Amino acid sequence: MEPSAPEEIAREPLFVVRNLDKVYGRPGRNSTRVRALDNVSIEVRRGEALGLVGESGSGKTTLGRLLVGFESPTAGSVLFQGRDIAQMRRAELGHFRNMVQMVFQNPFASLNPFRTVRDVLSSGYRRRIRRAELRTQLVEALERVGLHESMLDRYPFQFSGGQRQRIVIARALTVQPSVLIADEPVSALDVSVQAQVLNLFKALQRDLGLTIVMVTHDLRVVNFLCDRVAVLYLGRLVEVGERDEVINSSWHPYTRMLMSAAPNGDPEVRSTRPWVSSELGAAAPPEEGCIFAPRCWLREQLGNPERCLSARPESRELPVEITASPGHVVECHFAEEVPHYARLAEEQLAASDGPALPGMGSLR
Amino acid sequence: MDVPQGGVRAITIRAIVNNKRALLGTILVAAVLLFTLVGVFWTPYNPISFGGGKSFLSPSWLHPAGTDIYGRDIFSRIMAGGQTSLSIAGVAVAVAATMGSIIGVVSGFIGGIVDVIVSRVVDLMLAIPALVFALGIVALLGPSAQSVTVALSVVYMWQFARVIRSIVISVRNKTYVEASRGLGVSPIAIIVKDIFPSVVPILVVQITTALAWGILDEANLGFLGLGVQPPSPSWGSLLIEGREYLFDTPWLSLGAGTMVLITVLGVNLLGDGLRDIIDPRSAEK
Repeated sequence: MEPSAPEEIAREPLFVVRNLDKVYGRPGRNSTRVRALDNVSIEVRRGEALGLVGESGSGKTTLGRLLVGFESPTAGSVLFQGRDIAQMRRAELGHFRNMVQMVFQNPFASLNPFRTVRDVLSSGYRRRIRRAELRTQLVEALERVGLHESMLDRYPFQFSGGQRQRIVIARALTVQPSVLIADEPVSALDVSVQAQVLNLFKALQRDLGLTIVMVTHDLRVVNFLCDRVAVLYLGRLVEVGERDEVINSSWHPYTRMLMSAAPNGDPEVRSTRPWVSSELGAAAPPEEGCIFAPRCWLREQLGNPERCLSARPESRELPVEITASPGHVVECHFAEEVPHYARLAEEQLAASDGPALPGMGSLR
Repeated sequence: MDVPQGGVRAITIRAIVNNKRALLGTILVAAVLLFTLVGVFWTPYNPISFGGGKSFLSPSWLHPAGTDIYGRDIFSRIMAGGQTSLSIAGVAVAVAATMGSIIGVVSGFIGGIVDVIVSRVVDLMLAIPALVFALGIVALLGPSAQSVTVALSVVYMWQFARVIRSIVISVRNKTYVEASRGLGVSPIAIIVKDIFPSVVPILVVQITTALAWGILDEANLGFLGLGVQPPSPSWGSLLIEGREYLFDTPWLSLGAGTMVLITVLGVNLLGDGLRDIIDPRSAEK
């Protein structure tokens, strides 16, 4: 079923991820096997900026790498414009590589110390083109990210972190991709430089119509850049929705907790919140039932229902009567109860001056 | 230009002149080569025939390095022997470095089952004592300068392969290699442009040590009756000839030893200097 009309193509998602599993380690050796992604299904729409958020170890980077084709899925599939990346032939893969580019986390590791900016930027050009023409293109590529042509013959070690990340972005753009997958592109930079790079992403998205998938643990980045947010927890996608809905009025207890963990400038408030105390690393994912149940505050509030431990919640789309916009997907048996109990606890907090509940407008 | 250069392109006459070690190394290597080249065409005395000169003369103006047991001028023998030593060691190391690099890069870059098999073969080859291995090969091919060269190439190759494989493995998973792959750069181009530059510094060091061993191993083989046969001189055989009389007439070995020393020192310095010039990070000296 090939889409015919242009608007149909525009509406068709760029990426369709279906029931994706990624397990690291050798089959048969259960002790060394790590389940990085567990039954993840998500779509990336054309022209949007999608944020993948979660704690470290949640599988957000793995998902990003699967989207670029750097890893192959253990089960399930990643479709790009309707074609499975794992099934692509050489020519098709070349085309895919030109469409989808990655921006890496650490700009100090992603540039070869032995190669000049000119070398680095020209490696994306496969065909032989004339020197003068190549030069114009390289200068253009540099100017697009706010760097000057005099930097062409310098080496990576002569640049600051922010400049390096611009070079990395410029390199990704030399093949004129339509999608950028960015893996924590600003986390290695200091705060003043982060803003510059994020502004660059925003400008590029606006000017070139890029689709951006932003892997990040930084909610400020999400707030600034993303249209939609997907929240991962221990390899499972627990919530996907419009950015404002996920951040401010989430329907998943984990998302609420994650939002409350964001620093809000008042050290006193954060330190009294009980739900952010438990370490992710300490929690081995439970074999059955909800993956978040061992840490779930909502479950406590509801009186520890048996269902959370026995049945793994299906990922389901919430009805439009509840959410403001369609397509809000959540993985929780009691998602509808979340706002009520969150408000309840917030009121208790206000009355008792004790621990606060997560997510109540503290972020903005 | 205040912009530092790096890579093989950075090796210019100017860069060598500006780098003390590279300059000194170049001078030493050039001197050794010139000395040897002259020795091919002219020596003060006949280096081979027993000309009836006196034995065991100590160094003098007439015989700068003295005379040996048969009364031959040792200085002339050193001049004539350089050709054998340098060509055997040089060619053997060049071949070994090339073959070893190819084996190491292929094994390290491809990985998986190929790497496992190649690594085991390399381990096996390294487990055989070098001299015994070389002896076997020379015995198989028959004693001659060519078979010594072949033998030393085959023996040295595995050391190169192992060292280079380990570097390739450490570089293979760097993010910048992944980035090139993501841009659709071909594996050959990735090896040449992204991986090989990291190999070069270690390769240079490895080559300099192998060259010194090459000169000595050629002599060892000659001493055992394989390889270049007496009376043709080589530095190694001169060293070994003098060993018996080391306490009474040390100059028998001293001249050839000095030449080996100068050669190795020159190559070492040159290698060090080139490594500095190639690495852009050390370019702002």
